[in-house]
Formats: sequence, C-alpha cells, structure tokens
Amino acid sequence: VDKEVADRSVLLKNMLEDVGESDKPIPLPNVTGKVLKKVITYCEHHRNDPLPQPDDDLDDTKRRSDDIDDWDADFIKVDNDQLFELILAANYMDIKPLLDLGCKTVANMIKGKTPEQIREMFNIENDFTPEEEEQIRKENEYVSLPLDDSMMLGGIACLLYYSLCIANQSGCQHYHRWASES
Amino acid sequence: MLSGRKTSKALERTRDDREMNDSSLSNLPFELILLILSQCSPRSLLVSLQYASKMFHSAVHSLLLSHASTSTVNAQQSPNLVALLRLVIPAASISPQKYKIIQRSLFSSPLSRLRSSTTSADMAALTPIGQLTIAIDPFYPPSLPSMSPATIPVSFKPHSLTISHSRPPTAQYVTFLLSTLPTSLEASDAFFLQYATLNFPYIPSVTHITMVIRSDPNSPTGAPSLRAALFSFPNVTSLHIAGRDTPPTRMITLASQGWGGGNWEPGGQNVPEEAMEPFSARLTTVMIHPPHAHATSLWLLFRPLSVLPYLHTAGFVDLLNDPWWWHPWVDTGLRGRQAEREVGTLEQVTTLLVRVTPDVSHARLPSWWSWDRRERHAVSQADSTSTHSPPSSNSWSTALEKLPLFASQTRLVMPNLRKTRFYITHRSLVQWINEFALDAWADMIIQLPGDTVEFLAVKEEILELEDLGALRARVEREGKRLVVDANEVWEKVV
Repeated sequence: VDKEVADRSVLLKNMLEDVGESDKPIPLPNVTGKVLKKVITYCEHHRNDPLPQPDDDLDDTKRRSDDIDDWDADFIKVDNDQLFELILAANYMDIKPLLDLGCKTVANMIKGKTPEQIREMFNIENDFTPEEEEQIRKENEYVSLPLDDSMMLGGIACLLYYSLCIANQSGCQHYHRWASES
Repeated sequence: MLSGRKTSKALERTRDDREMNDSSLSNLPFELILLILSQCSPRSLLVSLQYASKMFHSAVHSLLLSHASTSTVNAQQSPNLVALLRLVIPAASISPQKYKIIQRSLFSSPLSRLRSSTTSADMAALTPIGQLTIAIDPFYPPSLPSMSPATIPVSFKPHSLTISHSRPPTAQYVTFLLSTLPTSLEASDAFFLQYATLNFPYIPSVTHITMVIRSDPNSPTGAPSLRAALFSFPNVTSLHIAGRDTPPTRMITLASQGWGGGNWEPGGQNVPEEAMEPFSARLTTVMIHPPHAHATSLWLLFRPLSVLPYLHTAGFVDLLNDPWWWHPWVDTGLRGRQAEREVGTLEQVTTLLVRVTPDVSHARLPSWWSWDRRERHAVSQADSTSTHSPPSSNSWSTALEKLPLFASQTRLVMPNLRKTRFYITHRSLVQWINEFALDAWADMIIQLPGDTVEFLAVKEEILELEDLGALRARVEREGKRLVVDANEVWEKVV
C-alpha cells in the first residue's frame, strides 16, 4: 500500500520510520488478512484526513456516537465478529479514527437496549445472582435518568409517524404529497 | 528483524491473546471495553449496561471513576449537581470536561427536582479526593430529606465529610450525612449536639473527628457535643478540636463542663469518669487548635485521658495569656506533686506539638520586640515563687513569662516525651527554647514561619540569631537532634 495510507496507522508509521526505506514485509501477527484488507480500505478512504491530535480526547464535541458519516456507517456494517476484530486491529495498529468508529458503533448498538437485549446481542453471560442484581438496582434507585436526546427524538419521530399513519388512513392529501415528495 | 525505539514501544502494546471464539463483547480486552463504554450515554451505562454482567458492572464504575480527575469542578456553577455527582462517584473530584458531559444528560431529572426546591441550598465544593464539603444554609431545602439513607448509594463513601452550617441540622439531614459513612467528620459542636439529641445509633466508620468550637454565644455548649461525639462514634481514635474565632470563654465553657456536661468532678452528673476510660484508651491523637484556647482547657479536657500517645497542643502562648491560668483550682491542680495527681501522668505521650503562633497583630506589638533577655529572666525567677499574681496585661511578654512553667509541668506529666515540635514566629522564642525548654524535651523540630511577606523578615532574623546557634551547639553537645525549618515535617504532623 502507499506510504500515505500506511501512515494512518501509528504503529506502521513508527515502524517505517525505524526501519527506513525497505522492501521487506512488515509483520502484523495480530491481524488476519481479511481484517487487514478491511483496515486498508478504511485507511485508503481516509488517506487525506487530518491525523488525530493527542488532545482530541479532551474535546467533548468529538465524543458523540451519532456523528458517523455515511461512508463510515456503511463501512462498519459488519457482523459482530468482524466488528470486534476491526476494533482489535485498530487498537493494535493504533488507528484512532477507526478505533473510535468501532467503539461508537458498538455504543450505538447498545443504545436503548435492555440488559437482556445487550446480553443477547453481544453474547454476554449473566453471572449475577438475583440477589446481586437486586442489590445493584437498590444502589441505583436514585438514578432516574431522563431519556437520551436521541431517544427523545426517536419518540417524537414515532409520534409523528403515528400521526402520519392516522392521516394516511383518513386519506389526507397533505400526507400523500409529503410522502411522495420525500 | 524490526528494531528501533518507536517500533519496540509500539509492539509492547499488547492485545488480548485470547482468540475471538465467539462474538462476545466480553472477550475484548478490558481497556477496549472501557473505550466502548466511554462512547455510551450515561443512561446506557447506568440503566442497562451495568446489569449485563459483573464485568460490565465493574467497567461502568471504572468509567465513572475515570471521570474523576485532579481538577476541581467549579461547584458554584452548579453546586447541587456536584453534590449529586459525588454520590455516585466516590473518591473523586470531577474534571470540568467530564463534568460537562455528565451534566448534559446524567441526573438531570433528580437535579431538576432538587433545583426546583433548593434555591437556598449551597452545597459547596468537593475538592481533594475523598473529601466532600457541604456548606448548607440554615434553611436547607425540604427536598434533601428525600435523599434518605435508603436512597444513598453504598458507593458514596467519602473519606472525609465536612459539614458547615449556621444552625443545628435537622434529624433527617443528619441522617443523610452520616448515612454516607464518612471516615472523617468535621463539623461544629452544634452538629454534634444535635446528633446526640437525636439519639442516632453509633456510626462505626468515623475514625477522625474535627470539632469546630463556634464563636456564636448562642450556640449550644461544646461539652455535651463533644461527649456525644465521643460516645456516638465508637471507633474514633483521632480528635481535633478547632476554632478559628473561638473566644476564650467558649473554650472555658467546654473545659469546665468537661465530659459531664456541667460537673467536672469524677462521676460528674451526666457521665461517670469510668465511662470515659474506653474512649480515652482508644484515642491516639488529640490536637487542640483554637488560637484562643488556654491551658486550663487543655488540662481540664484531658485529665481523664491517661493514655495519649500523641498530644498536640496549639496556640500555646495564647493559652498562657488567658486569665484563667490564674484560677485557684488550676493552680492547685497543676502545680507540683499535686499536678501529677490531678492531671495524671501522660506516660505514653512521646510527641508534643507547640504551636506558638500569635496573630500578626500581636507579633507587631512593641512590647514583644523590646522584651530583652534580662527582663524575661527576672520575670521567670519571680514566677517560680509567686503563683497567684494575675497577669499584668495581655501582652506577649506576659505570655512568655508562663512558658517556663509549662515546660516544667510538661516534664512532670509527660515523662516519656521524646520529641517536641515548635512552630515559632518570633525570635525570642528561640531564646526561650534554649534556656528553658531544652531540658524538658529531647529531639526538637523548629518550624519557622513561611516565606510570606509578613514573615520573611522574621524568619531571616531567627535564622541569624545567636541564640539559634547556641541552641544548635547545645543540642549537639547533648546528643539530641534539632531540625530547623522543617516545613514538610510540620505539614505531615498537622
């Protein structure tokens, strides 16, 4: 791959700086070929992006899980196995944007799920006894959290959709015009 | 073969060698799970994820803890939120950045409830790790009781709890505070009195108490409060009595009422002296720190405490400057052989802290600076024979006249004293230590005033004193140890 693409990985970048110009292959023992190919695709697409800065973590605005662009969202549509492999590879190869993308994707998958749904989705064994679970619930009684913004938006959207459905059933022309235009 | 610093360093980064046999999120390395969780909303964390498995529960709380950093949040901006956050993030101050994140979505609901009814509440800063300071308005909000012990998460375990209020708290509020199981409790005597009158069960977590004796003449007296504190907190081993603005009368009241709440004699009306024995045996550190306290308070207060590995006194010059020093009872109680009988021998006292720190206005008195050695010596000679002369004035010289007396008494009641720490701000005290005190105390540490503008000249002057040189020589000659200006040592002790 191009050096510009390889440089997206801090691991590879440092390796290349250490060994200098060479035709020798660079071993990446922790990454399978299939995953590496996917990683390269990501790096090639983002070859011109500015490299992340060390203090990016301090910027709250960059820690949103709902700011994934379309290409990335499409890129990361993989099964859980591959998603986790990508996260591991991104971590190993030190490709922060890809690592963030993977983590945000998992976070988005978790959003709005019940504990049971989370367990099922990610194959997590529930090792709590009923007593332990009850104890945690008791400790967290004070947590009566508001809906997430996104959940609230989702709720509003559902209400809107429901209204529109009613409108549709009643043959509202405005709805049909709006629906066809959109 | 790859080599080189950067490469080696990069390759040191480990990944979990476990094969991804299945798609379980649990199989990711813990640090990656934390990273994923950091992208989750607080709601997802607290409402869902922490229940998924023990590992995720642990990860969620690790993440909450990682929100804490060394920075201190500006509590004034949203004090209620800070207090609330502190409930679920133990051992933490909260960085402004993380705080903002949490503020956006976490706890908005209980916060809004609090805020709507707590306009007068001023839950103030929480600063160093493990400490929570709550300053509360006398008319604290009715919503606070809703945070009853049952709703306090067990994760809230501040090491230190400082309570500042201008009126005794309500029962519910006391319950709320103490249900947090602090290990260190600092509050006014009114708080402790209220605690006693409410007849709460013992709070075993508290091992250190700082009781701030209040200057408010209308506040409850300290003695019952202190007694309540000592009986109600069965594991207290460290006691600090403080009071920045405490007038002498307040301390006198405290002392004269003693443990018995009005009767100092053994078997006092409320608490028999033998009832104090378990308490006195478990105390390992006592520090009395009101600038205006006095010797009578010190001795009266600790007469039953025959076991005190460490006795810290403070404001000593002011102690001796108090007219109560001349009270006949004190005279008979503290002088000579009788003192040994009355006061008891503090055999286990090995360290004495003498903080000779008059306020700056005193230090500037001309009488202090003009006081010369010959006059001081003559006064001290006279003092040893005349015991009932009232102090001629409240000047510094009068106070210093009494120091030798204290030295002899200290030797009497603390025969095993091995180390004395002085905090001095005046050059003449070096002379005093040299001439009167050295015999009584073995190794000594002298801390000079800090490098503030007002004390810098004094410090330099002290360091250049001939007396200090003489003191060094004498200490060396007698095989003792003298540390001068050991600020770090002092800080550790205080």
